[in-house]
Amino acid sequence: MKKLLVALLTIVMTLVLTACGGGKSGGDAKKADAKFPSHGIKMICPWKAGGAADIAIRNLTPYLEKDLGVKITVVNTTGANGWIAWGELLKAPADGYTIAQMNVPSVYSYLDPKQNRKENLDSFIFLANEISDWGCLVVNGKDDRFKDLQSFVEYGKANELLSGDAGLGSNQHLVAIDMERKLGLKIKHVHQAGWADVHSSLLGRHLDVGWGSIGNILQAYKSGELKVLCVFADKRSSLLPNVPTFNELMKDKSILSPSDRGFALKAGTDKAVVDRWNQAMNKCINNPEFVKKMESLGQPVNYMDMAKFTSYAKEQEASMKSFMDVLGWKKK
Amino acid sequence: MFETVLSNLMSTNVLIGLVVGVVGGMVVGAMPGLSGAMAIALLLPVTYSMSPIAALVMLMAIYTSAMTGGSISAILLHTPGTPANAATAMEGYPLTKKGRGLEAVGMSMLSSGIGGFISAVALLLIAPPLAMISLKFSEPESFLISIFGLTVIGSLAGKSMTKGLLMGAVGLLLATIGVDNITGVHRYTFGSDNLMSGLQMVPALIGLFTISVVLSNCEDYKNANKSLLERHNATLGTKMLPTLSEVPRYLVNWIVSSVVGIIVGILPGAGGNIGSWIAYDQAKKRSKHQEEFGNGSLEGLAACEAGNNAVTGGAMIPLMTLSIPGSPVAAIILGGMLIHGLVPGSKLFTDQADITYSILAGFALSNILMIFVGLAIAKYVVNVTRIPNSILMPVVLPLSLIGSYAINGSMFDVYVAIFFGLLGFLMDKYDFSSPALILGLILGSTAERGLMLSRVMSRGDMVGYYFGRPICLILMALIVMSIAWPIISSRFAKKKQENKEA
Repeated sequence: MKKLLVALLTIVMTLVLTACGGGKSGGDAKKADAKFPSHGIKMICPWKAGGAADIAIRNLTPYLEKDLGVKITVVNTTGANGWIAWGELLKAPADGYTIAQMNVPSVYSYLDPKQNRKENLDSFIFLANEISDWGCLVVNGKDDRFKDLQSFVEYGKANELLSGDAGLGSNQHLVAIDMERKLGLKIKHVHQAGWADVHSSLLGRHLDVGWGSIGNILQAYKSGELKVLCVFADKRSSLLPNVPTFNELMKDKSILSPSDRGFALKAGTDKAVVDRWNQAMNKCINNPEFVKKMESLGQPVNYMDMAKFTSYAKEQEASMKSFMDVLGWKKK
Repeated sequence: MFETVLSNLMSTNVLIGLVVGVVGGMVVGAMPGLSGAMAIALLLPVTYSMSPIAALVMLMAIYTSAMTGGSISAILLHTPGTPANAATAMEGYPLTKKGRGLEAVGMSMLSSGIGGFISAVALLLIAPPLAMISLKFSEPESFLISIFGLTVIGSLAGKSMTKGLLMGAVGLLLATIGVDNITGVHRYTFGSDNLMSGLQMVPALIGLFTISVVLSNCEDYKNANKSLLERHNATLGTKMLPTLSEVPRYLVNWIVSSVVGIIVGILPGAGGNIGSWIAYDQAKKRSKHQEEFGNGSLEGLAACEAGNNAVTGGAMIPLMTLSIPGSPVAAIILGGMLIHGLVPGSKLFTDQADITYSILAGFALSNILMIFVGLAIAKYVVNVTRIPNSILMPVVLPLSLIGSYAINGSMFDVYVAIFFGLLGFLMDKYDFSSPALILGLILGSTAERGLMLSRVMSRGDMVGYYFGRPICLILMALIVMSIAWPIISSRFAKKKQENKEA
């Protein structure tokens, strides 16, 4: 009996060890494979398993695996607002066998001098964008004070608004600041732990206004529990065709609130490898079946190729810089 | 309606999903570092091709079963898989030492199943009104609930109340590590990226509970070739379930703990971690055998296991009615619902009632199946207490380190586990309570956020704001009672004693 148990435990141990070893791939690969890819690929997700970002990856990888013909292992490496994962990408060889999700605007925290980062946008190749989960202005569905954006702005100029966001420096916080600056609203910021808290505080009327992404608000909008006054996107979203954009309503002003889930490789990756990735991303992200699946999950697909994603990241960096004082990202 | 539900449930693929979910969840839960959340996230894409009922029954079965699986390793190896099982380890491991491991695991399975089942019934019958209650809660309430949770430290302090409170305070201090979400200040990060998001709960827990026990076993190297039972001169008992005459002793306990679990579960953010502790605390306060608590109390064990499984059904309530996930796992299950066209809201209980009630009935069923599966494997796994330390400890240590690594794929978390292992070892030696420290660490950030944000929300009048909210008043009364109760009850006991003597 004893021997059997010991044997059993050994087997379990071995299994666990093998299961954990799955993430190791591409360590010794020589530069510029003749035929990329020849072995398994490691895909780093900077966020926890099961979150919106993780879902965006795990739904795409089966398509990529099919196209590239190799196994892709998704590894969740969290912490430091994504930078542990991006640090890991930059530590790996630039051979295309390690790839990471790239998130705009989370990546811009390298602008914070307190974090002492030497890396910047040029450390990465902005391969492709997959999802653009634009921000929205949301109020309780039964709130008579706010019929539309106009009435909201008028109210907000005269009265102090309690505004819920997902933390200091979060996309939601930044768009609230933008509204404060460009429209002269009076806002008291309540930095909650995440959308779930903002959502229930809105429904319970503990807050006046909340900011959430399309993926966050979609179900509650459809059920009528929340009203969406505008979306901070460059054009109307296919998921919210009846909701006007902010820029459409306020012709003389512009506010965008992006939250993008794309992919990045390490700078210096061989051109042939990058091209192969580009081709795979283009084909898989634009697959109609995939697009439909993501939309049913509340994640609007917004494919950008390498050139577009790179220039977009540069533009967004400039707009992020205008928030550096509010975020406390200044040299002492 | 009833017939449709029944025929839906009896289809082959639903039954397979049910069994796979229950067994798989239990295995995943028993492994330190592997959590139900991870298993569900990984399996989610697999469920896309399944029928909606089979898929969701499987996901929810994993959720509740993983909660329970964690108790097996907590009881037998002092290795809680999740913070929700920490109290289980505290009561279960002493029982194992006495040779009552089988009884403890049996009680844990039974209580978990009952807690989960009661929560599933609540979900079936009264989800919408309960969801409305959850909307009365916001930041001030979550501050007060955390404070209420912290009063549990009084029950965990062990021999010295001062040392217990001190450890609670150390836990609160450790909870401040990381970038503050409200001010953006880097606190105690020492410029390290690894500390920016704060200390991770599970590695700290594995260190304090598991590695510390491994270390104290190493200290006892002279007995290395003896098993846990031999060292404590115990034999393995064969009793597994409470006898029929013992059931009334636990009945109230199960019901109260389940209600606590459900209520805590419906509040976003609170989750199973607090549910099990509060259930444990109220069981201790009502118990006639308070001296058993901390030295292996089946009552305490029953309370926290019923409590943490009741959280699962509770967390599904705001999810299914309002699309607000009450726990991280519920958030992942939301993704699973959406992909199958099940949109949370009142329509789920009207237009799609057939599917919804089939899923919920499957969830209730999975809790019952879980009891049988758990009891069936209990007889075998309990033999782990017969393995000599010289073999068992070298297996437990790497497993717990791998578990710490697996949570975030981070080597730093392994160092955290080792640090807390050494700390826990020293704390045990000098009678400082590690559960008190864990509780401080769990509740610290919620309490702080609640206090800071309610200050903003009160627009300057904090006292008026708190006293103007009915739920706040109830919670404040509960906190006062929780602190005053031991004093009052000891007075009563004294008076009784005096009356008897007179």
